[in-house]
Amino acid sequence: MDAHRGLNDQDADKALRDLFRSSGRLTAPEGLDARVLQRIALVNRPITPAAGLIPTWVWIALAGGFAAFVAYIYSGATTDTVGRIERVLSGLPRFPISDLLSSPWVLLTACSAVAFLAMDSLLERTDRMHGLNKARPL
Amino acid sequence: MQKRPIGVAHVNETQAIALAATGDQAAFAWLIGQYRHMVHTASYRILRNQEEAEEASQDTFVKAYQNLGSYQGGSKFSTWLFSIAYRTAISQLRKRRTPTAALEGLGSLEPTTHDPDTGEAGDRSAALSKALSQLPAEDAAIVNFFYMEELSVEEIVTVTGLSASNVKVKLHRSRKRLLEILQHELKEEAWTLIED
Repeated sequence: MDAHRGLNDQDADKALRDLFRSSGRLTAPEGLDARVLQRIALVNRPITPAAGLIPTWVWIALAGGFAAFVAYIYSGATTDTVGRIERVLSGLPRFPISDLLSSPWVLLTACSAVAFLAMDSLLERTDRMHGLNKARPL
Repeated sequence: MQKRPIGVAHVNETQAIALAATGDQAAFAWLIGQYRHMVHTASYRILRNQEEAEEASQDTFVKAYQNLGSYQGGSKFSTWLFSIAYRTAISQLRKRRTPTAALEGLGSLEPTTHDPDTGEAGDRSAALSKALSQLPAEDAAIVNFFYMEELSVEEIVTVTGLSASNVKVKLHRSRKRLLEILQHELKEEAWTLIED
């Protein structure tokens, strides 16, 4: 029971609902529609959720494969687990870092990549400073 | 000038949503026409400033247009739209509170209502606006959703992201406060009319 004028909750709700209804909604500003349409014309089209590049069944197959691999590693005698892992790893190709870095081409490529990334980051910062890359936050 | 698809004037809401989701701006314009007052009222109840409420309403519709593809139809379209409007206005309010809290209230003359009343009904409308302006912004929005838009507590939970118990507590507290203010503001006769 509400203390005000002996109204219980239901009566108070009804009275307020009637009051809101009789007052009506506020009127949206004139031309709101046009301004929204102007803005969405720039947005161009609704964003539809893009399908993943890798289909779901591939992810399921990969997960299944991984689970099978783990099961294979841990199957059989528990003491043989390390031996099994070593056997699997020995079958993989090896790329020792020392061999890779000894080639001047690899070093040159790495240096170029660092230079390009630094240049990209510098340009982005300059754009931001001048407001060239300012996207309206939504 | 936007291209108007054949028969857009006769489409129902579901068809308009489907058309707008494919980029049909005329269909989206129809949806704006249906919901502009609702969205503006919800935004204004939180921001209490005409310009900011319009900006928030615009942002709401632009976001809705961009994200129409993610609207699954699980809830009512109005609930989905209110949820965007509520979050947009609340986020705008928080941004404003930090640097320019002093500006609150500037340009906040109550806009006219969609169905303007005169005389006694106009007094009640003014008293209601005054009462709402004395509630915290979030509570005023919740009260508006409950009494004006007739959303259920569950729908308000979806819109605001608050817990059901929190919404109920806020509604109870706001109802008590509104009645106190209205009792003080309204003349005895007007209040009797409401009770009837």
